[in-house]
Amino acid sequence: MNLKKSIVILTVIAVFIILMAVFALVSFPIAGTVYDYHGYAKTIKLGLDLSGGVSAVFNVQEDEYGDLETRVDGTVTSLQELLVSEGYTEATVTKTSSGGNFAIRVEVPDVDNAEDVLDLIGRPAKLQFVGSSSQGQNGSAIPTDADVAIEGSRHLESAYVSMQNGDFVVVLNFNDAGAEAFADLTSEFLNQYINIYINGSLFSSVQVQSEITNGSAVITSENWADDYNAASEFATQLQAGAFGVQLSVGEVRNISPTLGDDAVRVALIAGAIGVGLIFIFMAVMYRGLGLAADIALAVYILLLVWFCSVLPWVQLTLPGIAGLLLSIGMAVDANIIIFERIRDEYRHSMKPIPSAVKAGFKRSFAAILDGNVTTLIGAVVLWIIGSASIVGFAVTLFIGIILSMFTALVVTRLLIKCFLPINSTSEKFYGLRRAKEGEIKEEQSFIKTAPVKGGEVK
Amino acid sequence: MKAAATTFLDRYSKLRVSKLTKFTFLLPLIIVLIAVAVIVGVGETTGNYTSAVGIGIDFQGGTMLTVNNLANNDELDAKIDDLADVIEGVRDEHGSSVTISYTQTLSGSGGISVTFRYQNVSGNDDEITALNDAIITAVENALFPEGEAPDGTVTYEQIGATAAQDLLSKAGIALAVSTVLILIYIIIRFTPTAAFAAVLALIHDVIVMFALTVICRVQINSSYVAAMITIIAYSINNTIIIFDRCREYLKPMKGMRNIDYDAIGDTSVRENMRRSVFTTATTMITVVFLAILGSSSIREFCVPIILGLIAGLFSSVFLATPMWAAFTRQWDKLKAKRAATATYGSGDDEDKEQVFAPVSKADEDDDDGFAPKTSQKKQGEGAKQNKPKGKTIYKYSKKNTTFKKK
Repeated sequence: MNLKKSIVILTVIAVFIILMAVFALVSFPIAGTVYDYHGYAKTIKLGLDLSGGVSAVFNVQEDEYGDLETRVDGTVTSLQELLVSEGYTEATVTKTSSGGNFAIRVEVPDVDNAEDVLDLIGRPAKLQFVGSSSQGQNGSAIPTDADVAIEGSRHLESAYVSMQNGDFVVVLNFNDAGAEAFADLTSEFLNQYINIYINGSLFSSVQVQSEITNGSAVITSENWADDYNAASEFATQLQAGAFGVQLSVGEVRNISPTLGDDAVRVALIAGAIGVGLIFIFMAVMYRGLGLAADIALAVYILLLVWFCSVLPWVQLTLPGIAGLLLSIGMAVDANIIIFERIRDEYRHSMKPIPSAVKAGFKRSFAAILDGNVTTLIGAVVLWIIGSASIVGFAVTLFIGIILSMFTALVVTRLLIKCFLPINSTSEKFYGLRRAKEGEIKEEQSFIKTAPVKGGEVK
Repeated sequence: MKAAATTFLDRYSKLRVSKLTKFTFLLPLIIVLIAVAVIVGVGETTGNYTSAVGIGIDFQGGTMLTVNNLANNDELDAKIDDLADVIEGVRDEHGSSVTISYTQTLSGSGGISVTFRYQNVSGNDDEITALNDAIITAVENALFPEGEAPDGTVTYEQIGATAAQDLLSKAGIALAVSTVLILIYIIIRFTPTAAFAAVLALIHDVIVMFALTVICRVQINSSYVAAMITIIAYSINNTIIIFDRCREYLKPMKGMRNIDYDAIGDTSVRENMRRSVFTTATTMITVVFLAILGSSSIREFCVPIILGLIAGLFSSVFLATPMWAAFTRQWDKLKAKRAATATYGSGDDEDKEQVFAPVSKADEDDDDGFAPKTSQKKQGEGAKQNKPKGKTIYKYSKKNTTFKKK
């Protein structure tokens, strides 16, 4: 690499860092549109512990089916699963009780408006299926003498949107009792109608096309064949009626971060001090090499922040921040391993600096690869198996490790290659020195010198 | 000053971790014993073993106390702190008091409310109710020093665990699966003995980190699971880097006998010491500042990480390589034993090249693992006889007392 080329590369990297840093923080209106650009660092989704959110309390209605507590627990689990499927991996659902009355408290992070929570999980309601010989009028009240065949809280397990023959459909899954009841209902009212009532008013009237005995039904409609939102609204409403207990919306309020209002500020300050000290440490210990590592680290941190803001699974919580800090530590680690190797190479040989650098990179590659792959294995397994709140942590760790290998093995190397044509002989600049007399590494023999007799193996 | 530095360097250059195993293997044991003593001690006095271990509100549930209708002004934060002190000051009949885990303000319709969540200190429902009633009275008195508090100012309810039911079990399964996969990876890239040493070091980290957390009386909440995974990922990395150096030293010695594994391990540890310490320091620095600046619940998360980083550094430096050396030595002995079913060759004419037929034994791939049979050309084993003879040539040389494939 010649001098000209290396100056060009260094300039490009500098411009990249400056632009990435600016775009991370500034916000401005985009010309010609109504949209604003928000710095990507500000758009990272934060968890309950860092940013607070909205808490909604749902009161559990007493009913006559018995064993309320078990069903409340079941509802807590299905609410949790529902929120995770909507992408709110950090939401918490808690069972509360006072004076024998149960309530379920749902806390959703990163939501500004209390009403949004209700849009997310629907407004839990009483869901009833009634067979009918004619198509009902939407909004009409449930007949007082209606024979309710299926109740959401007792029979329905889940409702979700699926794709069939290119159209959106809503799939219903019933539990065992529900499957039986639904089979009876569909055989009795074949080619007639099933009226779906929500809170006693007709929500939809569905024609029965065939007898369904396997406990799983598909509802098609022209209304949502091409419209995902309409199908999803319908499914959410049914799902909200499918919880094991009947819920009514209680108090909905905004909540502050569980770690305190200044948690994010504290984390940023601590991170800034820590990273600043790492920068100084590297520059002092390894001089020019450390400078290259610092620049690479800056690239690394900017890329990491960018990935965290664009990837949908990342909802940053305190453990997520730990994942980030750990991966920053590992990014530095890879550089330290390489530089220690370069030092050793230079010290105990007569190689010129460029060859020592080359040998150092080559010989530390296996160690860095093995160390990172083992950590990567852990991250991937957690990503696949771990429960929702751990997935965010696993994802940040995963991105961090891949990026740290990239910056240490590619960016740092490129930077040092660029430094070499500018200055390839100064020991001072690279913080290297030859071994002094008396420091020369002894050729150690690792073979024990104890006498070996022929029969000893036995 | 200079003299001190030289003696330090002098002593450091003679550091042999394999000679320190008497102390280094004892230390984790002592820590675990102290932790057990703490758990039993606290558990016996309070009668509540889960809180003695430090299982927190996320897994256990507890009480949520809500104070309603607070004025939203500049003094709110100070007010909340005062109330927290009042709550933590109330003692039950055993003299124990609650520790607040989370404080949260609620805004929206109906003014500002503050919730305090804390773990119940007793397992008895009546005692819990008595303590909560006492706390309510204390808080009401603090809010309205003279006069009656309006109804509904302070309410409490029992809350269940917020950590998803399957958090622990799934984390446990994930850890087990990843440990097995890591084991397999190290077996492939290194040796089985290195893999077992690394995994044992890993288990050490988990146990010691847990023991240290108990000793430091840090509550275990859902973030602790993430902290532990962080440490495991980090420590295995540390160990691997040192094993990489061992692997490098062993490479030219493949197939030799009487390798001094302890010396290899010691040298590798020594040469990697700068890197091990630097790396742990650069990782720890940010977490330390987070612990210093952050609130108590942030500290609850950072302290286990700091303890775990130290445990991880300790196990990588002092435990992993001596274990590896010992395992490998035993492994070699085992192989030699298995191979020693036959006696050594006549041995007098070692300078002459001898040609042996291949020995079809299970450990044929071991370079140093078997000895030839005497006069086997004539009386080989049954399975061998059908094979074409003399296809593989083994050269016998006394220099390293091994057989090399030519």
